[in-house]
Amino acid sequence: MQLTLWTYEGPPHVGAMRIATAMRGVHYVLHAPQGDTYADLLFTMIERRAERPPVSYTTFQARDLGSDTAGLLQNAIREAHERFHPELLLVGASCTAELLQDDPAGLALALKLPIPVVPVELKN
Amino acid sequence: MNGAALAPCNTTDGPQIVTERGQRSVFCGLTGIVWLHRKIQDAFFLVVGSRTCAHLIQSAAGVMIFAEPRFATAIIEERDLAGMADANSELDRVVTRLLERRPDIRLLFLVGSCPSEVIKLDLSRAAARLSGQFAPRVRILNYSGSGIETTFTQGEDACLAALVPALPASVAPQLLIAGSLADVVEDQFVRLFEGLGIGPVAFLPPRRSTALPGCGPGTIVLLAQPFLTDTARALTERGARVLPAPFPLGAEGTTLWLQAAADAFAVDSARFRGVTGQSRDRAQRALATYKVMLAGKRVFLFPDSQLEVPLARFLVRELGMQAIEVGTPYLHRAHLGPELALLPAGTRITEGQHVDAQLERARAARPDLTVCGLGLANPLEAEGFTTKWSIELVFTPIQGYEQSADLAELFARPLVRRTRLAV
Repeated sequence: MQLTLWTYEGPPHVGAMRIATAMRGVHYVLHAPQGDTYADLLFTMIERRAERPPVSYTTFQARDLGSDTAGLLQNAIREAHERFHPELLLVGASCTAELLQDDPAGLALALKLPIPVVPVELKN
Repeated sequence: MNGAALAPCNTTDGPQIVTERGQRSVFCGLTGIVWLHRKIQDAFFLVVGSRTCAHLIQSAAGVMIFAEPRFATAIIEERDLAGMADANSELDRVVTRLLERRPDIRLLFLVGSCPSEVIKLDLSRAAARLSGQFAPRVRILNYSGSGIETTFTQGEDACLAALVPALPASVAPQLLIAGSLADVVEDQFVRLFEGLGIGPVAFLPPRRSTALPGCGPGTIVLLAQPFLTDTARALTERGARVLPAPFPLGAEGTTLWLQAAADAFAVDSARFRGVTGQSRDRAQRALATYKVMLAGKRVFLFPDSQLEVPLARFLVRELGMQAIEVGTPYLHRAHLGPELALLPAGTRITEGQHVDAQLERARAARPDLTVCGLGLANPLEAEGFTTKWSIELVFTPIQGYEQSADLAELFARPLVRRTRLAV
């Protein structure tokens, strides 16, 4: 455990967000608890982009942990595909979602979407 | 992420409350640390979490590398996850080092995060264990600020609720104001209560943890903030009585809030008018200028702090605005009852959020003013919306008579800006 007053490095799922935002036609679905959407502000406030980063989050809360977070992720992936029509989907988990072991890659591939789905392995 | 908006759960007149589920674009409760550490001047907030938590706090608080603020993150690593015994002794090591380094700290909060909760790290056990070691010099408490358990300002609720068991038992009559307020606002309220003959008056949170207010059967509580579900319950369990009242926003809200206390302390109406009349009139006159700019304008509020319902009430009733949709992350039916009773019939309140569906509704409605979070503001401005950053309502002193005009100006400013910038 490291007492941290300052960090030079953000978490790896934010790095993946930067990749997705730098590309066209890519949408990133991130399995993450409520609050991880703070990362949008890095793009809309610090960088002052005119669009939201192309990321959808599951924003699960306590009540979701009791039921089906895997289902939540699959809905999010399906909805992102229907709403945003990306050419390619990135699917990943933030640190907390990793602990749930929902298998984002497997869940995403099981949906058999007509576009490439790239699971992102994020080592902390 | 189910986009379903469920059927309205309200009848006849009064607002129409709809529940929505989906992606929530709101902060977690850890963000409360940013203002709470400034309010409680001898407290330190130690988040037990991941690099994500540290990154959030740093990004949200604008931390500078050479500053030593009174908050930090104990980042859980792989070796801590290996076995719970390691994590607990690691935490003890981190806390010991921290308290050695910062002898000014008298209250340490161990703040739970999403990862600490998912791995079931028992911070209440850790707080009790560490208290044994560091009491009485340092009090060690814990609360959860995780996004799994808390939405934004619910972090303050969890923090204050954690303080309640530590309040000394007291049967003496007193007025306790619950909810974090700017010092200047507190001082103004103290003067008003003094004038009304109501006292003693105490505040939770206090400015110093060594001066915790008492609590017990003689304590009457006025909630200064609408998001204090757990705190109100904890105070009630200690024997206190919570007064139902609207929140002290605007001239009308402030008057009704003070009136609730005046009634509870049997202050006669002539005295009440005498003490509050001038301030109320001054506030109403100051609001008139902003009413000219804002009356008839249509406002859409995205969910953020749970302040949305009282703010909408103020905008509609005192500034003549029209609320198209009032989004709020959570609606406490009892604490917000007096506010709901003041809203026009049919006002659409959305509890919860599906952000993409809500954005579609906002685009279709084309409001004159949109109150929203920082993740949405600039993209909406680029689409031609006029926006107000909802977070400003949390960080600016907005309660009381003296701040009524400031509160109105926050909403007028974006419209004025549009008239000045010809782009």
